[in-house]
Amino acid sequence: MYGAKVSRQGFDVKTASDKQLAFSSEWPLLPIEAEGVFKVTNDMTQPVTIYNHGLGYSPVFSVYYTSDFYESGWYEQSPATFRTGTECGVDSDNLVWKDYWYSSTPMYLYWKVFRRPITFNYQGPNHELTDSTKSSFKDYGAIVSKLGKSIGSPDLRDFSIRNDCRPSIIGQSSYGLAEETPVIYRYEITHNLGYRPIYWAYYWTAGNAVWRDLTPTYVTRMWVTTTKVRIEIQKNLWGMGRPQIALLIFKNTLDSNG
Amino acid sequence: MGKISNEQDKTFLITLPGVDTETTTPEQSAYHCGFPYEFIKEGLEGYFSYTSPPVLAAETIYPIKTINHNLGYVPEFQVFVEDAFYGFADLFARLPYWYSPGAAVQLRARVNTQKLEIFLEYKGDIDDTQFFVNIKLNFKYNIFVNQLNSVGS
Repeated sequence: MYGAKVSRQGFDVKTASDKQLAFSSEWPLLPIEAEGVFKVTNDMTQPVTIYNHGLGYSPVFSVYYTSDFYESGWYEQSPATFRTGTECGVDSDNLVWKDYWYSSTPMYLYWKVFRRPITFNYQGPNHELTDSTKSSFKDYGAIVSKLGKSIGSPDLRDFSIRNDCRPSIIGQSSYGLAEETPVIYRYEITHNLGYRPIYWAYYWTAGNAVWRDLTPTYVTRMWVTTTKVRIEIQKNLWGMGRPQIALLIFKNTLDSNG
Repeated sequence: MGKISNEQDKTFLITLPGVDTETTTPEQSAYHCGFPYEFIKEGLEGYFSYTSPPVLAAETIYPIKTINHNLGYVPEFQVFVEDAFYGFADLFARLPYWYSPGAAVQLRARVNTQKLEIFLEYKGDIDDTQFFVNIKLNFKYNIFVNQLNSVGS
């Protein structure tokens, strides 16, 4: 069995835990397929295609927003239903805007589409869950620059792997129809990482027909333990049908400096 | 703007276990040189606790924490809160996050070219002295190297 792994700066590659690695051929990273900006104006009627990704599956995506209507020069994440005008979704062909906007001051959505299906069941192995101690032993380092960029560049944006940075390593992904009880919809997966991991969540309902970011609120609650992630949606406040839920679990912690 | 990847470039790729490098797709690769990836700069992630004030004044914003990233561009970020308000353990949410309309409390995070700000926005029109006061919350933040508004450049 062959493979490659690179520990993060200060950790011995032979004893580093899984989440102390900068790279391992055991687990996928999150490749960026496309990115851009979409101007939202008050004369639009949803849905509007933002980007035709053409991947043939609904890809993982993220969206941030900014608008002088709210604050100049500041950017926020835009989970669905939090700020009017920011709601987006994906299907197997397109990233679409599905909202309305009421101000003559435009809103700008900064989006990324990743090369990974939202609906993909993947269970990566857990090898070393016990952290090693950071030390000052000689660090050899490993860096890989992007195409056309110099390995000597001082700009971190010019690299795709650096052992002095933490990548978004995917430990697990899962999707399925939420379980229905009289009061809630529930979706749960077991990860057994031994720590509470960072996650991203999406949902799909027949009425929407696109995958959207699952916004945590008092309606949609997410429990994260050292062994499981569980989502519960209060049916009487949800206002939509029984959802499919998708989760990405990253090898990074929610409750420590990492 | 648009596609920024080049899957035809296979100068350097590493496949996931059991996948042939000759036939692999980007989805089956642990690393593919034709794609940029997301990663977090060392020192730009953190975890901390915060306790809400004993009184929330009407329509007031309370800073929770400011992190100076000094990257000189607008980076991607994510902030999670461990939410103790409802009395459940292990309840997490990614910001922005808001409580039931009665609470009128929003937890938000925003970024510019110099810093990430995490703050509590109380939108109630009367002071809150008993609802969302003295609540201990834990936050986790990540600031990525990736530029939020690079639009394919």
